[in-house]
This record gives sequence, C-alpha cells and structure tokens, in this order.
Amino acid sequence: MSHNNIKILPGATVCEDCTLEGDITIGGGTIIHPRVTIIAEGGPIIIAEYCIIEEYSTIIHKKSDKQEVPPKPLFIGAHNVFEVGCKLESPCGHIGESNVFECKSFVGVDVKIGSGCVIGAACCLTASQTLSDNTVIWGSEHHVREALEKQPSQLLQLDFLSKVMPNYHRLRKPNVHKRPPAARQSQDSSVKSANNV
Amino acid sequence: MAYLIQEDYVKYVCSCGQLKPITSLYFCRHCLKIRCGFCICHEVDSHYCANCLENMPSSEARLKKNRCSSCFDCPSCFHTLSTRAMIAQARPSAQDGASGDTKVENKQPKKTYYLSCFNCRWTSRDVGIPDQPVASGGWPERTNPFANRFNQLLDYYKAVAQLEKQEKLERERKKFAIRGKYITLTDKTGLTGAMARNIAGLPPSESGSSATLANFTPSQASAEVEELPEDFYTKEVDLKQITSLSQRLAAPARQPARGSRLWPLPKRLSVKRSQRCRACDHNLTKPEYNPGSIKFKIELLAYYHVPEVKIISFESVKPGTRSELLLKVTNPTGHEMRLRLLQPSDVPVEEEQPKSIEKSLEKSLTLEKVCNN
Amino acid sequence: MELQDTYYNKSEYVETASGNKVSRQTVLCGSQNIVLHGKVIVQSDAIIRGDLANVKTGRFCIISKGSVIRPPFKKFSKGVAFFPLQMGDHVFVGENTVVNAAVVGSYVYIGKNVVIGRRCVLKDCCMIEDNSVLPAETVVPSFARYSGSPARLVTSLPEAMPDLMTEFTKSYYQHFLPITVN
Repeated sequence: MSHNNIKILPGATVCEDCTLEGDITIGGGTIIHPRVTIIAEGGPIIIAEYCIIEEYSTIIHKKSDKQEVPPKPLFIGAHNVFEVGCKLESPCGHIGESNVFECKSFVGVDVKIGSGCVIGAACCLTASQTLSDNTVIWGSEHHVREALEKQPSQLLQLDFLSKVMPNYHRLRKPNVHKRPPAARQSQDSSVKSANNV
Repeated sequence: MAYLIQEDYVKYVCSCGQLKPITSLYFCRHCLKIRCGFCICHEVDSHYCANCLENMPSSEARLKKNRCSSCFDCPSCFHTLSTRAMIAQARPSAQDGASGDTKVENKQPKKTYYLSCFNCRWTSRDVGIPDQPVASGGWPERTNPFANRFNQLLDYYKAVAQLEKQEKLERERKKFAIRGKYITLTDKTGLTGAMARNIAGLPPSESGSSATLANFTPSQASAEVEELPEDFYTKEVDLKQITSLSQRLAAPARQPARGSRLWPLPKRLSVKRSQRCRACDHNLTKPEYNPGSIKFKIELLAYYHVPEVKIISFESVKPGTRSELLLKVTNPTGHEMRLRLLQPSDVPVEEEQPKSIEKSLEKSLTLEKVCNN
Repeated sequence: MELQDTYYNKSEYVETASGNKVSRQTVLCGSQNIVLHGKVIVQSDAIIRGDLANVKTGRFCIISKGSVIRPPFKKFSKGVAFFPLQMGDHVFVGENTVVNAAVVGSYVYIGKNVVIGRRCVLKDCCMIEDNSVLPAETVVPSFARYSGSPARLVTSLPEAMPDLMTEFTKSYYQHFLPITVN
C-alpha cells in the first residue's frame, strides 16, 4: 500500500507489534493484541467500538476485480471477538455485532455475517453464503445451529485488558481527538455512558 | 506408540503369536512370558467420572446405569456441559414472570444456574429446562416412557433365569442322587421344598416367579405402521429444528426428532482397570485407586523388562547387494542379558517370505532373552 | 527412528543458566510473570502471554514455532479474571497450537495446529492429536488420546506413557543443537 492512513479513536488499545496497512479506522474501546495483521488493500476497513482482536488474527480487505469506485469499506460492527489465529478475508463484506470468530477459524470472501454468530474453532467458510443472526457453526463437519440468544458481551474483559495492557505493551497512540461528525454523535454518547458504568 | 508419533517399525512376538509394539506388551514375572492385551484378563477396578474425577462404587454405578449423577453431555454435540451462573435479578425467569414486581422489590440477588455447552452454544434454556437454585445436581430427570415395560421384561427374565437355575440344581441333585444313592435332606427329614429353600438361602419366590411368568404378555409384532402426516412431503424442512441421527441415538429411549426435545445426557463413567495374566492369575498392572493418579501399584510392562530394539538407520534393500541396518538394543534392566540374533535359516520355514523390511526385521528379531539373575 | 538433530541459529537463541533455550523471535509478554523451570525450549514466533496472568512450565517442555500460550479468562459476576496457566514437566506443544488451558499436566503431548479451549484441564499423560480442537472447559483424563474437532476420546495410551514422554522431550532437548551462521 502506498500510504497508510490509520485512525485510532480515543479509548482504543492498539499494540505496536502488529501490522496495519492501508486505510484503517479503529473504534474506541477496541483492543488489538500483539502480532495482529490488518491489511486494507481493497478499500478502507472500519472497526467499530469494543472489539477484541487477538494474536495472529488477520483481517484483510482483499482487492477484487469488480471493484467499485470509490471502494466500499469493510465495516466490522461493535463487540466482535476475533480469537487467536483467525482469518477474515472480505472484499466488501459487512460484519454485524457481537460475533465470535473462534481460534483458527477462516472466513473467506463473499461471506456475509449477521449478528451474534459464532464461527467455531478451525471452521473454514469459503463458499459464498449469508449467516443469519445467532448462527453457530462448530466442528470439523461444520454443523450449524441457531443459538437462543446473542453471545454475551465482553465488556468486562475489555475493561480488564484496557487496564492491564498498557503496563506491559508499547501502544499506538490514539490520533483522532476531534469528535467525529454529527452522524456518529449519538453513538458516541452511548459509548461514553457505557464507559462511566 | 513406541516412537510416540511415528509408526511402530519394530514389533515383538507375544507368547500368543500376535505382533505388537513393545508399549502394548506386558511381561509376566511369574511365567516369564510376554503377554499382550489379547491374552490377558481385563478387570474393572473402579468406576469414576472422567469430568469431575469422582469415584463411584460399582453397585451405585450399576444403579445409575454407569452414568455420572452430576456431569452432563450436550445432547446436540456431545461435548461436556458447563454449569453457568446467572443473577436472577437481571432477568426474571419465565415461571416467575407473573410475580415480576415482587422480584424487583427483593433486593437480594439470587443466583440461578443453567447448563451450557461451550462448543455448540446449546443451553438448557433452549429446551425450557428451568434454571436451578443450586450449582450441581437437582436437574430434572425424565422418566423413560417405556419404564413399565422395561421393568416387566426385567422381572420376566429374572424369573426365567431363576427357573433355569432351579432346574439345573434339580437336575444335578437327581444325577447326584441316582449315582450316589444318598438320601437327600428332604427325604430324610421330611422338610418341605420351601423350607429347604429357606435354609439354603434361596428366595421363596416359587409362586411369585411363576406368577410373573404366567402374567407376562409377550410383545406383538404388528404389520400396521402409523401413517405419515399428510404434509410430510410438502412441509418445508427446517434443518436447524431437526435432530441428526447421532443425536437421536444418543437418547435411545426417546429418540427425539426435534431439536426442542433434546435433553442433557448424563455423562458416561470411565473405569480404572487392572490386568491379570491368564496362565498364573498374577496381576500385570494394577492402577492406584485415585482417579487422577497415573501411578501403578503393579506395572509389569514389557518396556521395563524386555530389551528394546530401535532402528537407527537403514538402506533400502536391493537384490544382490548388501544393505546396512543399524540397530540400537537397550537393556532396561540392571541385569546382564544374553542376546542371540537368529539367522534366516533358523526361522521356521512355514512362514511366508517377508515382504518388507519391517516384516523381515520382526522375524529376525525374535530374540532369545535369558535373564541371568 | 531416532530423533534427528534439529539445528538452530546460535545467535537467535538465548540460553539461560537453568538450560532454557528461548528464541529471540518470540513474544514473551510480561516476562516477569513467566517461569520456565529449566531445560525448556521456546521456539521462534511463539507467544507466551504472561501479561494476562502467571504462566509456569515444568522442566523439559517444548513450545514449538508459532504456538500461543495464553492464560484463560473467566467471567464472574463482578469483573473478569485471568487464571494462571500451569504446565507440568515433559510437555510438548506442537507448531501453531493455541493453548488456553488452565492446567496442563505432566507428560502431555499436544500436536500441531491444535486449539485447546479456555479453562481446559489436561491431566497427566494424555495426548491431543494434530489439528484437533478441544472446546472450552474440557477435562482430558489421564491416558486418553483425543482427536478431531470437537476432540473426542479415540483410544487409550500405553501405561509407559510417562517414560515415553520423558525420553521424547529429553532426546528432543539433546538433539536441539546450535550452529553458528554468519
């Protein structure tokens, strides 16, 4: 990528020991562990608030032939958890909220993911498909079932990590201090109140 | 397993003729013979749950059908279920829904517990099992819909078994009487059969068992099968609602067809077993009682007594040329050991020609071991 | 076959007084919370997350390339806690394996590309085959060999497993030799 444009919102914890390339926005409260790779080569990647991205996870916004101009961003909703070694390749996907991508899972291009889904450990989604809300995929045979309720939020873990991680890691400093435009005002205020709790 | 992660290149001949790697062989100290899993007795020492590591006496295990009373498997993916706590105040459970107002007034947070699977995210709430106030135990048990018939069958076969036993005794007694011409206890003392049975400690259930035998109605085979519902072929199938074959077979009594009828499966117990030489009845292995322990009270493994042969390097065999094979032989004992390598001419001829290097090795390594104690 | 010699670049590894051989290309977060009990090999690109909680290994452990040793967390009604991760002696962790266990006993063999879920308990003498996935909170009993995703018991291990693992890890350590590359 010719230029890197990485925006880290205040409240995010981003380790220095990770590869960030391209146009990436990291929302407040999100935690990025060391050795994470995020590459936005096909268009910007926007990661919303309160996500956890663990070691060796890879998020790539792949270049595709039928690229729109300007390229569509890859938007990753709030409260997603990317566990160790998972891989997400998406040209213009939309990832909902409160999903869990378990260890070593792989989500290929053309997979649309709703909210509250669980991609089980070592599961590999390559075919073009749409996961409805609360879908759980598990095991080597990729069994599918629907969970009763959304996956619980990781706010407590985020809270702990955001306190502990600065003591041990070199972090990238938040570089966006100004309040974002009015469109996100309401979301931000809710974030703030959540912080106070 | 001798190489942990590689194939077993070297195999040893057990005294029963089986070829086994050294790790699955035993050495009977009393017969001085190599034994393997096929030619020894396996005995159950104790039952325990592999999840909670709780020992269970064998009588209780039989009563509980060899299943743990506190651990459950997920009916959906068969992974172990975990108990999770939930503060009731945050979300009044469905049954208390009506008395929701009193719940709010009650400031004391009450913990309730439910079962949840970390693999497929199945929870006991999925099928409407109410949350429990205690962390372990107390989960509602479903009675087998065929429990009555089961008990009938059980009683019937018990009665049959007893009858057969009695007949056998009778026959033996008759044979004995004819051959020996002794006067039996009943003949001599005039005791009635029931009294004699009472003295012998047999249950006086002659009339009872005959009643069970008489009242028993055998099952009737029927050619009529229930019609399939009319919309069976037309109704849209929701795969997420329908159980898989393995899920149905995991609960044989009910075989639920729909996901909403799945029920936690009590976890199967594991056993600690000891192994015994069939020839001399001495123990070959005997584990310690504690389920978490990996130690053995008796551990007569071939690994500790028989010289271990390892291949260090080999050349592929070509006709007409010599190839080198480097072996390492270790003596695991502290004693001197004599070793003899057999020539191909010493090997009995009835066996077929060796096909591979491993095969030929097995034969030439039929080692003569003499411990000079 | 005997184990082949594995050579490592002398300048890449640090050898401590107790015989630990640790690659410089690892991520040891919170190294003050990591205790390697001697003759432990930590290969390149391994991550040990001592910052989350204490990590203790026994003697003769092998942590292969690209594996992640990560203390597990548990949610409580008031906050979240990371549990210390304890590993016994003679443990082998294969390449690219993720270990989130609470306890790993002694004489344990974990293959490559394995995922050990959160708060799993691996008792002494057990084996997890390559590419297996152990879901969270699994208890693997002694002398069990697990395989698959989700991992299930496939067979039992021989009684001599402690000796086999001891021999394996010791000979691995002995065959792990330095060469000087300019």
